[in-house]
Amino acid sequence: MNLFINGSMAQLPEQVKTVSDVIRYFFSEQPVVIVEHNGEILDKETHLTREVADGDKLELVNFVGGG
Amino acid sequence: MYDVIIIGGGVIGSSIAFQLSKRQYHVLVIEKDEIGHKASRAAAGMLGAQNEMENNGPLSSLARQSRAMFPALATELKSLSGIDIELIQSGILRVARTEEETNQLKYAAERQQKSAENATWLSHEQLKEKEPSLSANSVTGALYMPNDGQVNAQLFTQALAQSAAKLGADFLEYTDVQQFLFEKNRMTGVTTKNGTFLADTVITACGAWSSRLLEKTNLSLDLYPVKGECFSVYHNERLITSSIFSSSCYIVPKSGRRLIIGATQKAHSFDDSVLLGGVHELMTNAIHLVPKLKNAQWEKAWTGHRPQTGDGLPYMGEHPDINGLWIASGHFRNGILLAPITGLQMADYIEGKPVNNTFRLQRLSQKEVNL
Repeated sequence: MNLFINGSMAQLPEQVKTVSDVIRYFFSEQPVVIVEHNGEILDKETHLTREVADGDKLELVNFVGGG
Repeated sequence: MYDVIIIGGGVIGSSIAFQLSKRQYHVLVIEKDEIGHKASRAAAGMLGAQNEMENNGPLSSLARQSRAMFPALATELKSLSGIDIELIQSGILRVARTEEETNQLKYAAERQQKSAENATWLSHEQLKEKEPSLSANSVTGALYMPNDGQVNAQLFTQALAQSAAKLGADFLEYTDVQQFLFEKNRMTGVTTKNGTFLADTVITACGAWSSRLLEKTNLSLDLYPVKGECFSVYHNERLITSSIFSSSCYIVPKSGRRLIIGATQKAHSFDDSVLLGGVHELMTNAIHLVPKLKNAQWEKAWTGHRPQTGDGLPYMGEHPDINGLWIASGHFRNGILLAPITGLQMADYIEGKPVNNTFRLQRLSQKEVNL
């Protein structure tokens, strides 16, 4: 499946079905992530159930980077 | 004619300029904006050689060497430029909030002690005694790394640049490099709107902007921006002495009762805006950790763009096809920490000493989307 993540195209395995799966794919731990799905900012509760489809646009913001 | 032209007047370019100037090279730094105006200014200035480098990889040893250079460098920069870089050596506390984090950090303490680092697990009670303003019910304990200090990132960059200038380096601000000039495969200089400058050694140190510039040489670097948002506040009490680092925010106590709180991460974004969503989350997390922050006074918020690479390691080496064109970019969120050693090693390379293979460009990995 091809998704546009923060404006760049990413190819994700077929097992990725939901926003939660996308988060797990990119982040090893389970951080707080703000997700915008096709222009809509999601409540955290909907990450588990919101399905993603080929060509969807996702904006992901996570927290803590030192430096 | 210069000996070396450095493109990029951030902390990395300024550090290289400083080290080369010390060795009598005649250096020109060309900066498209102002000195230290982008990621170098956005950084909180933590020197997290232990905190940032969990795996004992090649970057870890570089980071420790670099951290060790700060005390002498601070003195040297003070005497040359008159600028105090505000080196504070009160350590980083990485706090645990869950059992899982507790186990991970206890294990990290053991592992770091084995590699002769100063790292201690502080229990809930010990932590409470060390940092009374930390919320008692939000943390279970912390990994204390007393040698991970911090500096004022902005002043550090200015001090490097001004010290280099004092030693003879020239700085040209508000100047974009338009083209690289080379004869056959040998670097000869660069063109800008303010004229052509000649040198047979050119170093690209433009952080997240290096990949765009190097596309002019048919080099595709796996180097991309990771946008970050931070903000700063004042509090009339001195709330904390060490930098506090949790899995959802960090709080760094600066001079003058000022605190920097960060940070968001958004990969592949050159966006400059500060969005409330991220700041709101950081505020909530910070207040949860240190409740007295509710009474802190707002100063300002800002963004920066950390230069990240596909494999997480910086590029420090020569262009694969053009002799005399060097790259020092991709230090991600550790540019401040790694600036001293990067300056030293790049100056060594320009002098002809052998290049560290780990950070060469030839390792270029397959391009894939990373976050």
